[in-house]
Amino acid sequence: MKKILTIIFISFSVVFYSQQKYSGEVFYTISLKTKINSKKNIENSEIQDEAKQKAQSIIKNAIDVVAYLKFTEKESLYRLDESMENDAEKGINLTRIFAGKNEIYYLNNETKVNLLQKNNMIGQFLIIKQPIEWEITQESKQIGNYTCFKAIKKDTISKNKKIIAWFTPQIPVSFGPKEYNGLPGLILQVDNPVVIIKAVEIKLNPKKSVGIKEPTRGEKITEKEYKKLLEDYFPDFNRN
Amino acid sequence: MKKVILSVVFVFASFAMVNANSNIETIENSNSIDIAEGTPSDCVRSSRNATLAIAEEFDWDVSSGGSELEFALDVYMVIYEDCLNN
Repeated sequence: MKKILTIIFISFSVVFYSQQKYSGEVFYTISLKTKINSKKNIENSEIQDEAKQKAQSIIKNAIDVVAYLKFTEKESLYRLDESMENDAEKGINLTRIFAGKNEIYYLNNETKVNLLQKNNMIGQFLIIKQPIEWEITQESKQIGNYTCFKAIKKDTISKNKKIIAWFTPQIPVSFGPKEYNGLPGLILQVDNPVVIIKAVEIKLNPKKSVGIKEPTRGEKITEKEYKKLLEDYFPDFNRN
Repeated sequence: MKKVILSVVFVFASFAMVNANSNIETIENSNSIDIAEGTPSDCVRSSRNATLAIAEEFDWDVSSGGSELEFALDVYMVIYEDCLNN
């Protein structure tokens, strides 16, 4: 019964709020989750002490970063806000890697183009992303002035490492940070096994138009092809 | 007498050339050792180990086809590039 009421509420909100046109910019802070497996590390690891120390130092030096999502009625673009970075932050920042480094995420709901522009030592790619399937729950919470509903990425429901998104039907666009999108409302928070992404500022319908350009640099490949390429490029990475 | 002087000069000249050649060889050898066993291979080993330690810390699945393998390789590439640049 509660689930039906939630569905009715979300549908009503989407219909009510979708009569307006939305565009804007959302700023997110991305924070690394605290370590979760240190006991196992100390007792069982065969990894050398030097490497452990380096890993600990990298984790300790991770600092929060800011990213932004620009969106219009039909498309969105997500990337790190490099204007917020300063020279003191130039070393290895683990959070920055997970927040998307120099990556650009682009989604167009009209043309169904869903791309990740990625640049690393293997090359430059335009990875064609697959849409995420979500399970929407009746759980809700307030983020700022917005009522948000919880959704869980379907293929992580049975795992202990769930990917959870909080979206608001009050802004009925199906966009969100990084590759997280496809819900009936803007995603304001994502909780994945590595980082927490939280919206901290929303600029709705600004006077200046939101300029979004589809990324075009790189070789176009599917996610599956990219994963295969990675495994071929680093065949011994996970071998003892 | 002329013959003796010429012989002595020839012997000195030969020593000087041999010594000069052996210096060059030493420099070349030390350079080639740097290329074969220096920074890049050290960086591969240390970056891989540090990444695997991070993966263990966060309980990532980095096996072939593992859910966090791509994450881990992103981290590995950044640590490797940082190692090469420092």
